[in-house]
Amino acid sequence: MVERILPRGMPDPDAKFTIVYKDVYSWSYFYKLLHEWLLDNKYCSEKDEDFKEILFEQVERPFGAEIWLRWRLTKSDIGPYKELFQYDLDINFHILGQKEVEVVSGGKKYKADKGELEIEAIAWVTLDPKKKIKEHWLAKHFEDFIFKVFLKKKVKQHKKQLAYEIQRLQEAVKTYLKLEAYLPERELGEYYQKRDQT
Amino acid sequence: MPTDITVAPAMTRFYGPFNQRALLDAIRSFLQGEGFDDVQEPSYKHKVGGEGADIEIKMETDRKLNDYVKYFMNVEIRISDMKDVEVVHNGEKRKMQHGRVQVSVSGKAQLDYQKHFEGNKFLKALHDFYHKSIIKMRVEEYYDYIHSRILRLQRVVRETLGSEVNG
Repeated sequence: MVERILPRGMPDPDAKFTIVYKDVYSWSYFYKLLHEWLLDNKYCSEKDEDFKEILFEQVERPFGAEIWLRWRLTKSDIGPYKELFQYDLDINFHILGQKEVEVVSGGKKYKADKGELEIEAIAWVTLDPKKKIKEHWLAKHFEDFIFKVFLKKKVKQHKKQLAYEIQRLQEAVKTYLKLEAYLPERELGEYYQKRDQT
Repeated sequence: MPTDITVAPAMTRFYGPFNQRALLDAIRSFLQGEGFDDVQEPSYKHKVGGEGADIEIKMETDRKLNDYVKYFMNVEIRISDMKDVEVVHNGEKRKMQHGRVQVSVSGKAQLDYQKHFEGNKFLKALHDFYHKSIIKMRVEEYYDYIHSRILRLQRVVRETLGSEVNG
């Protein structure tokens, strides 16, 4: 189980999912695929040095490698009132017993990994991330009114949008791992390979 | 403080050939048809072992009835020893799965989900009075609503699983 790290000061996430998968996959391809999805959806920039991978730990054990990985991502460019809203996304990976294996798919041999992969994504909408309202001499007294009354619909809309984006991320993971997905159009369905190289 | 009216879960167990996709679609369609538009899947586990794949899927959804009452439905699907099989039905080959399926459906109605009656002892006492005297009959209706939806969903699950065998 991935150690729960409560999102930065937010007790209740607006969207979350966990996927546990134990079989054959390509860890390096999966890593790149998720990175591409995050880049396409503006959760990170093209510069590798800006990518917030705050933890990568790999321990070699007799039954295979154990890997922990933590990504902390932020999306700020999100439409009107963009200075007042921000999407935060934490992705935690925990892989147990990962070993290199050779698989045959379509008559060809491929190098792949076998292990138990756990992906946990937690996301929430942060209000007033730049403290524009909190630090304004007058607006700070109406912070509750602004978010609970004046911008109530916007807050709700952003939470819905974030939940949809996280569902799409979940579908992208499921599409790669060939698990049952639901969205009418498969996320990353056509362009990227699946786990069995198809 | 929100008050939960919890309904006991209903369980379905099945062993044999079934269609995983059809089962998941039937559950989703039922929930969406009942107005639970946003069905979340907070956990999906898929582990392949010697006897086949073990799958555990949790679905959660909620729906506001009004500013005071919210309904929640939870579905937990556990499939063990699942294997892909080909079944001949009416002379036609079908790709299906075979394994042990357990579907648990539970739900609750949550009163005062916006926490109007929170803050002091007077409001708490008012909250108890309101529930036990003023909306007592309606509370039973909320329970019945969830209970009937659980039973209906259970029937849908049984029909979907059973239809794979009975045709």
